[in-house]
Amino acid sequence: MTSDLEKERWLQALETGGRIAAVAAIRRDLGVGLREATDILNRNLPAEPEAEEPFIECSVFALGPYHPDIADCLEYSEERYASVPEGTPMLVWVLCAYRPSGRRALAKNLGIDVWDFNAHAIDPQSINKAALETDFSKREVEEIGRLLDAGFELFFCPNSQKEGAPWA
Amino acid sequence: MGLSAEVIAIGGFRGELVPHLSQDPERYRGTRDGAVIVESLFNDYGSRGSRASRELAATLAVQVWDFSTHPLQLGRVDLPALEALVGRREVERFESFAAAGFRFFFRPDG
Repeated sequence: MTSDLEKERWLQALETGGRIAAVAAIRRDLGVGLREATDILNRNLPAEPEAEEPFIECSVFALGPYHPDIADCLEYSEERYASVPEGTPMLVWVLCAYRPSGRRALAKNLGIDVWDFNAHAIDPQSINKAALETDFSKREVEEIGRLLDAGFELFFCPNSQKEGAPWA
Repeated sequence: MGLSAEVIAIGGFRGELVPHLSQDPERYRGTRDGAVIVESLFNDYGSRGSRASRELAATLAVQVWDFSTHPLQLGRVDLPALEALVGRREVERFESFAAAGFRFFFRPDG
């Protein structure tokens, strides 16, 4: 059950940092994954007025070996990973964008081009962490750094659904 | 809160995979063989809710919340049962990616 205090906090995050900040606040408060946090945001808070662009689902995944030291960087609460053996390959959804403009910004900050599939295995040296922190929380960017340090690789997925429109 | 699920496939691009990829073929012009790409599978079925997600997990021989089972073991996938859920076309995509050496990860969301 969502409290009024939580809603107020999310609304404040929405007003000051946009939808990404609001999603990050919901994740922190409820310990849920990105997609669920987005659903909760859509149900509880007003849509951004400029939401003229079509919906897309752009994702960045991290893939690497599980270790308890990075359990707090994963999508769910640490206890869900308690029985996972060290070294188990783990796929983690770490960043997302839901509009083509957000996707372009995300790609730029990762040092890649949205539609250059040759570069979707992201070179960590090309990431502009400072720029990334303008759209995502400092904590999220730090967690990505910790995953990279633990041997994870990052992969960009421009949209899990087919699209062909010229605006993209 | 409902559960949804999909499978994420990660592997090296090959020209013969283009008909099975998410985007229009012209998007892949200039993509080199071996470039690592990411594809989503079974999302249409897995987004139908908790029951569908659990059915999908069962055909893939994974436990929804046991992350150690999420890297798919191809030999354990029940292809006929999977096809009954997601249809022939999605299974063909899966088989094409598998033949190209992709790795697959079950991904629950809930």
